[in-house]
Amino acid sequence: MKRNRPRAALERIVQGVVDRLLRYVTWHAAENRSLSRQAGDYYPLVMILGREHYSERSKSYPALRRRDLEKVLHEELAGEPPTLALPGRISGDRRVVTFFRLDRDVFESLPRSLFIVPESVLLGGQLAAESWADVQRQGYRYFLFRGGPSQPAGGALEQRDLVAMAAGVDPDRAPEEWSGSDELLGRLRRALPSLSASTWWSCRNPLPRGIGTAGIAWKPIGLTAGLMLFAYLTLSSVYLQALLSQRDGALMALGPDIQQGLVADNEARAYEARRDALIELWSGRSDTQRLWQGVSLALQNRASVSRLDLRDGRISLRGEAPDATEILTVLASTPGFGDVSFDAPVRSARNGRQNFALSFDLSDVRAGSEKSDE
Amino acid sequence: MSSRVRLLLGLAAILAAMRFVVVPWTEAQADMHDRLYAITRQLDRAAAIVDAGSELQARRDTLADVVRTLAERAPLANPGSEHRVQVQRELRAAVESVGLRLNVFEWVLDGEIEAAGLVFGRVRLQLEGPLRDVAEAHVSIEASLPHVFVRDLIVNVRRGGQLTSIANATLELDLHYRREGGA
Repeated sequence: MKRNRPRAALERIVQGVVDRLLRYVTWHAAENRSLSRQAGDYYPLVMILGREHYSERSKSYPALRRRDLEKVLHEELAGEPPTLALPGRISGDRRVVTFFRLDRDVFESLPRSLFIVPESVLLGGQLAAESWADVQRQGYRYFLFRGGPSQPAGGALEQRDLVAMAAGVDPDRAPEEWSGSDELLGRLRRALPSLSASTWWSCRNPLPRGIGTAGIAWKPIGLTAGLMLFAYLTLSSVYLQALLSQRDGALMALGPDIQQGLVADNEARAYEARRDALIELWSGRSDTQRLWQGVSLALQNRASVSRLDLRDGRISLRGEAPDATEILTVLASTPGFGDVSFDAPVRSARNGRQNFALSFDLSDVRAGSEKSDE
Repeated sequence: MSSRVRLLLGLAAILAAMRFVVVPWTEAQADMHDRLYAITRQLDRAAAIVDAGSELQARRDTLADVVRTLAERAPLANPGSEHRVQVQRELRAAVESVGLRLNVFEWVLDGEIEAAGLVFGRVRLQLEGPLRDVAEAHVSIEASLPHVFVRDLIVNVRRGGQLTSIANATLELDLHYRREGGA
């Protein structure tokens, strides 16, 4: 039981998918019937055509390649009413092709399906070897033989034994009796999946007018499209050229003014650069004369000066004083002097004084006063 | 001629027309469009420059005045031997007026500050006299000649080391000038 559950579920899924696909298959006999068990209005992609809507004949051809045979059939059927041609298997050096000539009025009244499958082709695959069938439905009767050949009942071919003789089957073998639309619908459902790919290919709609391309007036449309393209290109080119000329002219007209403006702009930039350079130059000039204030402070503190150097903005002062540290302290506490330090150790001289060598920077007095204000 | 041949010939004609007429035409249009874009940008810039023309000129004039004022701090000169003699004469007068003796006057080099539009000459003076006078000369030069930069100063003081002591001083100066005929 447990093993059968997945199988049953799978079968249900497959059945569901098949049912969905069958929605798009319609059997057109006396009336239209969908092959799906569920009701619904779906566009028929596959149309199964009832036996009463086509006539059937067969012809033998040399065993050509399929492609060559199709060329031959295409040329033979040119100008004929819509006809399906189903090539059979090669037998010896010959191949039999069955033609299904469709009723033009019925064919044109059908929806534009992708495939048209003759009913007898589908049902013929349901017959066992050596068997044949007597098909009756909706007041229409025909005989069906293994592989698809069929013969509508009528006239002398109403009697089964005559039909069997005409078809070359065993007259003693009774035909299967298929009657009623519902039974045939079931057989069609079963037969559809077993249709071979080559049969599907042969059953494609012989007049694919569903797209409607044949009715399109290609020449006027092509001519109109070409003219419109030409007109678009011409107009856009003229427009672009006119704009170019107009803007070129406007640019030329502005020429002298632009020149004047550009010259003024360039000159302004040059003046700006020169101004910045001059400001930098003049602001870099230091007030070196203030070094004499330092000398004066040293002398006031009883120092004597032996050498004074100003180099790269730094002042070196050498001399003697009773207390060299006092000189350094005075200088360091005076605004305008910075980084005051001894350059060498202070040495005592014989006269009791101290030899010193110190140096200091001339800092910006204004900056110093601004700092003290803060 | 069969319909298939006519169809193929028609397709070939359409493809040829696309390849040799439509595609070059559209490419030419793309070029024109690029040129139009470029010229439009040029025109916009040009219009902006023209619109701002008076402002640009006013700004240029203002900057010219500022530059002139700044540059006038340096006197006009025509660099050459005559100018050097004149500088020597002026500096000699300046130091001798405070009682110093000018032992050596050396013109070290000439230079140019291109960005500022100025030239300069570097001179070295060797002076002799009381330390007080050396200080006075230094102060006098720096205060009265705003175009002169004191680069280096070396003072050796003889005995005493007081303001009245005799000192030998070496003064190196940069003197800035505007070149005659220049801006």
